[in-house]
Amino acid sequence: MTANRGKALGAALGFSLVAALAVCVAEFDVGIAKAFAGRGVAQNPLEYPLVAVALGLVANALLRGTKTHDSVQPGFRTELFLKVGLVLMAAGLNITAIAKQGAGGLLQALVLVTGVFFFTWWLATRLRLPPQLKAVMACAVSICGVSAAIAAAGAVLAKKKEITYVTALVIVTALPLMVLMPWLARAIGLSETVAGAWFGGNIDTTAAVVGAGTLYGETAQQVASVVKMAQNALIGVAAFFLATYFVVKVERVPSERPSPGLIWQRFPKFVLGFLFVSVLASTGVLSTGAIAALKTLSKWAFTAAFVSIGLELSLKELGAMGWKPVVVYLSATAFNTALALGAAWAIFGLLGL
Amino acid sequence: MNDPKKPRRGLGEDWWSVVIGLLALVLVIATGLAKVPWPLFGWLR
Repeated sequence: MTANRGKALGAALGFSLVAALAVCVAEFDVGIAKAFAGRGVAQNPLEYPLVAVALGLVANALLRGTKTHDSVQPGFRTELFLKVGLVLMAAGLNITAIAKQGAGGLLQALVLVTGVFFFTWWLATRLRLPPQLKAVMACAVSICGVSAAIAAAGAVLAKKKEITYVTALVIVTALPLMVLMPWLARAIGLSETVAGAWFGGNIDTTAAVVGAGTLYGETAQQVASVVKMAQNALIGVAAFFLATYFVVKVERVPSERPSPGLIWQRFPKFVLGFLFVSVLASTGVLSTGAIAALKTLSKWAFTAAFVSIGLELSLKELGAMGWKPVVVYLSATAFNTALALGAAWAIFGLLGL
Repeated sequence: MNDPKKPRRGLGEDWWSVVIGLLALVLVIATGLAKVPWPLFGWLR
């Protein structure tokens, strides 16, 4: 009884710490944006996920140093925060808008998701990564970073350290891409439409996609957002196929018959909430104000999740996973960059969709 | 992550995220209908 009470108190303290740090992140974010604006940089290049992880890491070191980390750890609910953020993020996923303006975006999303997923899977198989890490990584690079990683992790029952590892890679890679891609697009002389499609198809975090689009121009930002939305819409499909594949093939026990019940058990249920909210947003049930409020709440939930990632990160555990996942992730990102450029140029430049 | 082989207590994280998300949705719609301003939902302010 006392042990349970102690655990509950620890969880409450841990949760309060996450909430307090999330408020600090928001404060820092506003301050950093102002400082950049003062120097003539309109778009804050330091994304809030990075600030959140960094602040979480500092608190992590302090907690471990004072030997209090274990007692408050139950309050660091990274996955729960991420899933809540994803359900709310769907308010910004307007399926009607994708269908209306995003025929090109949808086509590009299908080409990229399939191409990049199988390339990553192939490379990860060659380097003998565990099947769960392979699935999480392939989804993260090919679909939309952290959100797809979480959906895939639920479907294949990945380990927590595998999700943290991939999430850290996603955040670290998105930042240089957000700054480099608009610069490269300008050097090649891409139109705003093709450049936007390229950013949306390649950069993994939504915030960085919008950031890169904004750096290039208004049309680029709009196209980048639609392309990104079209990719986000494929999360549920990927989760379903992965759950099925792992139940039927990877983890099948010869004596057991794979059942629809087992696939349902594996299916990440938050995807249902994600679909429900996106249907509400797409059918006009939600007002513009409500959508804006839900998107901001989603940002708060993501901030809590990224702070928790920093708080939970164990460099020792990550180091034990070795360099191979980094090689796979960076190679897959390079492949994604090239394929997205080709697809954006063909679909938006040549075909003019 | 949830392990299907282990007996599970309660709703589980996946369903909790749906419940919390829907509660937030109801709160936003209700405050919108009642025309309550949303200062709390801004990025801090």
